[in-house]
Amino acid sequence: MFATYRKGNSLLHRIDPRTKLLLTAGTGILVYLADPLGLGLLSIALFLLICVAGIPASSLVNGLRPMAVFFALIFLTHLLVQGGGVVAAAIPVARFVLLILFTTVLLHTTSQSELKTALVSIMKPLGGFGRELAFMVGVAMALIPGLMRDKETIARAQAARGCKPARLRGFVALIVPLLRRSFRKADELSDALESRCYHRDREYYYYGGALAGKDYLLLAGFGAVLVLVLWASV
Amino acid sequence: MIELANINFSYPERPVLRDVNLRIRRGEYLGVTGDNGSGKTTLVKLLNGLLLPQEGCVMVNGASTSDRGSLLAIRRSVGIVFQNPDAQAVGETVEEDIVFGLENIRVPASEIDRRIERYLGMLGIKELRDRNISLLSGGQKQLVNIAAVMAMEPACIVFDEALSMLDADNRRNVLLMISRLNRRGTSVIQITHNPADLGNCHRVIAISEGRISGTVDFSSETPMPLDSNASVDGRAVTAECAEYDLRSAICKAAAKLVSPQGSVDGANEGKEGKEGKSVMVSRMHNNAIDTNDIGREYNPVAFTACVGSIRPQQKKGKRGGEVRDHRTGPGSAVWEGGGIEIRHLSHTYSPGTEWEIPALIDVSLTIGKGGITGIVGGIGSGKSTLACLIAGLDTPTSGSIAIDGRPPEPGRNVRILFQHPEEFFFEKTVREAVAFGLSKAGLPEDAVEQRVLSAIDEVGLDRSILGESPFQISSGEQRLAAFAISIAVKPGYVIFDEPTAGLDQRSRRLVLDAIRRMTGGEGAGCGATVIYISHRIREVLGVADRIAVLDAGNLTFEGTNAMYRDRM
Repeated sequence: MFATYRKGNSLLHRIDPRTKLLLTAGTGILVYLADPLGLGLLSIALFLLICVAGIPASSLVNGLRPMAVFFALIFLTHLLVQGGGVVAAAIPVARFVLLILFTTVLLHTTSQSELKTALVSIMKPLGGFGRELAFMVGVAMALIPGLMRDKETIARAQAARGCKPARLRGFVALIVPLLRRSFRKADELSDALESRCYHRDREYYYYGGALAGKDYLLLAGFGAVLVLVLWASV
Repeated sequence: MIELANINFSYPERPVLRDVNLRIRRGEYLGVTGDNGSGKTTLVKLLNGLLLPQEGCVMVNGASTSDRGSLLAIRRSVGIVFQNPDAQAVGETVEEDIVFGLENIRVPASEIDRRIERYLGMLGIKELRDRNISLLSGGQKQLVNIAAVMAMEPACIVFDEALSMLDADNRRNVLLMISRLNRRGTSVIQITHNPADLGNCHRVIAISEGRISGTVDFSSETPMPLDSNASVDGRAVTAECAEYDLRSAICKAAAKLVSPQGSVDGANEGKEGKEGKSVMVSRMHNNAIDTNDIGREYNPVAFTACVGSIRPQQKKGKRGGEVRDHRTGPGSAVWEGGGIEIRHLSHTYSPGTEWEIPALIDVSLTIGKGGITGIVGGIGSGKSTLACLIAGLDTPTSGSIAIDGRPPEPGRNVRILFQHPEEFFFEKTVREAVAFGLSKAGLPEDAVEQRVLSAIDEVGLDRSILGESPFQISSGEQRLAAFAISIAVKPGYVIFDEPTAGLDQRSRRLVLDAIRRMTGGEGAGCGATVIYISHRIREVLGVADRIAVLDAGNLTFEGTNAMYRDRM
């Protein structure tokens, strides 16, 4: 999921990440509320976005593949338990598919660091809590690749010793060094953070200036649609 | 500016520092040396309040580290670069990581930009600014960490074994930058067990078993300007000679502090005299801070210029009596006697993405059976990639590898020991750890015991260590125990990736001795073929029979140890 970002210069790449994040969140609400006609309209919008961003079909399929079993389960539950026919059962699946694909568009056109700083900036009004949450998300995101690589290295080192990961012994051989390494790393990282003067009241100001006029325009337009839909569905 | 008075510090199980009194003056360049486990890192953590002493107090600019209110100000004036390059970065990109520290101390945004440019430029990594940190090599990460701390412009910078990950070129450059900062008034504390890093110190102290066991003070001597470029003009060279004499005296004195009985590195003891003169000359053409061993280390630029005519595709014909022909395609028989045959090997990471990195480019190399082959190169030269490919842990993008005519099978015909192999222990005792692979191979119990004992003897450990937990023994013993694990199965080919990383001089010597013994005809190692991968050319020259040099994924030299020395 994290590897989907591709550098580019499409219209979508150039929109402020904060705007994109808010729009995606709003679209999530729309997807949840939409009737079949609305889902159709959203699908057209999604198709256009995918074209604009130039996302290859393989990326889209890759985003959906891990969820295939989940989709099948939802479909069958709705079909068998709630009844109502194939179309009615397909609608919740369609909602999930749309949700994932809209998120794929976001992740494809926005780098992790952009997302992180967008999150920090959106959380700003929440004060200290928002800042710390955003910081934790940031550190966690920075640690994940290292953790994955540690796992990989240890698995290789043990494979070189003839350990088979499928066996219980092999699992122990993987998990014991991985935990020891992770705990040690966490200790070292916290020392490094403190040494670099991390403190709770730190401000984030280097990234993200004010939103541009077009961002406000986009957000306002989208907000209007959202309000209309909400009003219509009440 | 920093004052430690009557410091005592102990962990529940053992005392670490005892009665330490130390005063670091503003603008001073202090070297701290000592073996693994002597208490150096604890001392570092006391300096900015990461740890608090149980007795005594640490004062920085007149404020005590035990006063929580002044902690931030203390950390602002004492910056620390730690040893592990993987556990210091917070940002996702290099730029973000530097911004993190600068935002913490509220540097204005425009100034942040300026400092990022300046310090990345100083360390020669400007082009890494937008790169993802997790995709950088260990040495590059460490340069980023150094830049991030330097950019905060603290009054004192502490380097806790921070240079050990760097190749010779980068280390030389970083040492030069450090001494420049120092001359502009920044205090520097350099913690290392490599005396060669201490050439610019005003004062060196040695720590042994938690006490300051020795001090050498050079502050009364006046060193010559450091970064005047060497020239052939008589005066400049004389100045540099004087400069060199002082630097080398400091290094030697520092080395004596650690191991008073002998030379720093047994491996090079005999060669010192023979090489002395040429080393001196090459030093004079390098920067003045070149000291004892740095001058002899791998310098890709100079080296490529030196052997520029040698290219992999031109290395056909007779060498040492063995006829090699790289034109033969994959799958054809290797020459008599077996060995590792690498043909037209290329490897690219993340092909087809924006992170695409070509790690190896058309490398052809033959590693004959027996003896030690050193593979050396700088940061990001492709050494570790080559190691993983030979060990069969990765499939090359193109080209082929054959070991005695068969593809590599990890754990069977070839073994690899990664850096810090002791991190992969998971057994309760050393005996279990060494026996693990043997029992798996289905050996009867008494044969297993026999092999365990001979492997332990072979690496030079005491048999009493077998009953101990692998996590409780010293780091040097851990490394040797990891070696015992790999030679107990009598592998035909063993690859060591930076086998001495992080070890002090004494343990380093033991490790090198063990590796030399492995290739002998008798004992547990039973004539194993060793591939020794390292960025420390000096160390490799001390043990290897043959040398291969990688530079940015290309094989730029292949030949015997003597041939390599001749070229240099």
